[in-house]
Amino acid sequence: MSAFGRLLVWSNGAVLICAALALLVIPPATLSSSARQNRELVTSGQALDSTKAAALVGADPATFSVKDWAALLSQGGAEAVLGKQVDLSGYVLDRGKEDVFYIARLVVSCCAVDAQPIGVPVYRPGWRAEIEPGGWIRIQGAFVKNPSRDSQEEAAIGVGSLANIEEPDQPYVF
Amino acid sequence: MIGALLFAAVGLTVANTLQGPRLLDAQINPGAAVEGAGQRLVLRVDQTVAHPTTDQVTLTPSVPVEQTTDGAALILRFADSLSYATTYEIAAKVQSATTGASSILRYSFRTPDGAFYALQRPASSADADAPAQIVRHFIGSTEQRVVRSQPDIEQYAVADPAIAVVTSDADGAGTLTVGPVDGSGPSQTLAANSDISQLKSSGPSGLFGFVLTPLSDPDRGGDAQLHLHDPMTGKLITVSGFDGKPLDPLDWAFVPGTTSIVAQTADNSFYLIDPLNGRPTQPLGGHSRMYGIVPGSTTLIVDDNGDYKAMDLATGNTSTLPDIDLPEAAGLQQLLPLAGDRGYVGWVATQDGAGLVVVINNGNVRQIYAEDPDPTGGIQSICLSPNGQYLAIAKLPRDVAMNPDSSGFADKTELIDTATGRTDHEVAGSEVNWCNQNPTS
Repeated sequence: MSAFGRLLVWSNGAVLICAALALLVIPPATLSSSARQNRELVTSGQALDSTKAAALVGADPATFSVKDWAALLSQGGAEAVLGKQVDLSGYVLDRGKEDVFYIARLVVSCCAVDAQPIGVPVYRPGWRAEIEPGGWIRIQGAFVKNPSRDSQEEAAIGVGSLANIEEPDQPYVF
Repeated sequence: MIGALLFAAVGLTVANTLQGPRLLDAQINPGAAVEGAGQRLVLRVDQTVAHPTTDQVTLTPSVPVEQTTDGAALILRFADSLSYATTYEIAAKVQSATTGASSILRYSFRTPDGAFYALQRPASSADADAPAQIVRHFIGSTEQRVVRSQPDIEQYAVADPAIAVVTSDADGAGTLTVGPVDGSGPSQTLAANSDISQLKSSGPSGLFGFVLTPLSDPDRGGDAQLHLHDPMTGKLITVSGFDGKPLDPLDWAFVPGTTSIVAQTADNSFYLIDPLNGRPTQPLGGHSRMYGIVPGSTTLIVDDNGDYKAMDLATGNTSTLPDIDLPEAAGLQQLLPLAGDRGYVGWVATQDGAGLVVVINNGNVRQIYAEDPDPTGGIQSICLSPNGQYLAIAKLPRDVAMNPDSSGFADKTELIDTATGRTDHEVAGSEVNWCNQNPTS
């Protein structure tokens, strides 16, 4: 090999060795300030905002009061409440139906003297044999299509369990 | 020659094997990160990384983060919103999932200066056509710029880069226009000859919402109805209630980071409505008032006749907040949730009639502001910056009814650092745009 050939080999080798050493010695580089700035600009639009929005379920209907359910039914929500579980306490309101009574509360807007009853229908054939009108009860169950031919409501609570209770400390709702 | 190349190839392979992951790219939206918690910093590296432990990632200044990996990316999710005009430095020790080699990734970014807008109304003695001005300010800077100047501005909201402005004519009929906040294009009239109220912005997601009552169009029946508008697409959506009728809310708010809103109807029933996707409306029960949504979450704070409740709209769980014991307090005027574990800001009326602002956290009450007893004015309203770093206190001059130089509205707004109670900025005018991202009441 000529002197020129040997020089070429050595110079090529030196370049490769320097490159290898540089990779070993020089620590991983972070992005330059300008690169960071440019990338922030590129990504500061909608790219990261397009992640899927959180799925919301709302509130647990088991926490709803007699007033809440009555408000929903009065807004034509019979279909929406079907199958929803309830756990309610209230007094028994008798509207002269044989298979339906109302679990009710007095709603106070100003003062006790202005209190108005608000109630939710409960489908329970033969209920008079179990509970007294005006007595306080707790019911657990779910809304069903009202099978009663004696009342107009589209949905009523189909009772899973029903128990007589003492009048609560706070009988009113606000 | 061949030997040298072989040597180099082996050397490079060894070097590559020994070397830990290297940072290729980083993605962060600093503007969104100061608007609310939950934003992500994605550090993309050149090889698959193992999941780092908590102590392997440090942020300066400190912010709670949740860390995950996704192939060749380390993802940090900020559990709290970031502060304005702050440089954050991240050092993360990462390990290659394939070779086990480790390295330290370093990255830094700076959050934007806190920009906000305020409405300056003319004095009541000024000419009828004297303009009101919407002025853009930066926290800690005297720099300001008038972005709108026109008579009779009643309300406005900013969803950057768009601004919505409601003006009224001499008969009280309102006009709503939406256009670029920097004036780079013409504004579009969205509604005219109408009563327009409860104008709000969703902030980073860029939507506006308002209650519109047409005043003269018999075909539209004159019913008040909540509308949502997306200025990017020009889409205008009418919002219906649980009963399918036009929704005329007592109060309402966007749920940040979602396409849903929460609305309170006249009978104090609350509903979760997704007008954009048309999902079924969810009843939320009856409550007397809503105070807002905890930033960076989907937790709604409501008042049930004195019991404060946190309702997580993502899970349906409702919890009662600990009793708020405020000595010498006659009443709590406002309660604003802070992000993370920072608690709440409360505006308290004391028994001697003075106003205080406190931070309530885990039963501890810390006063950050007391109303001036002098004539400079009492607190008219408070609202938080989206990251909860600052509280904007609009002050009403005590001589507002007598002074012809007064606009009849709050004419000064102070920005209080919620961590220190220090007044960091003071501007003329009121109705800071942050207030339009919260419930009205």
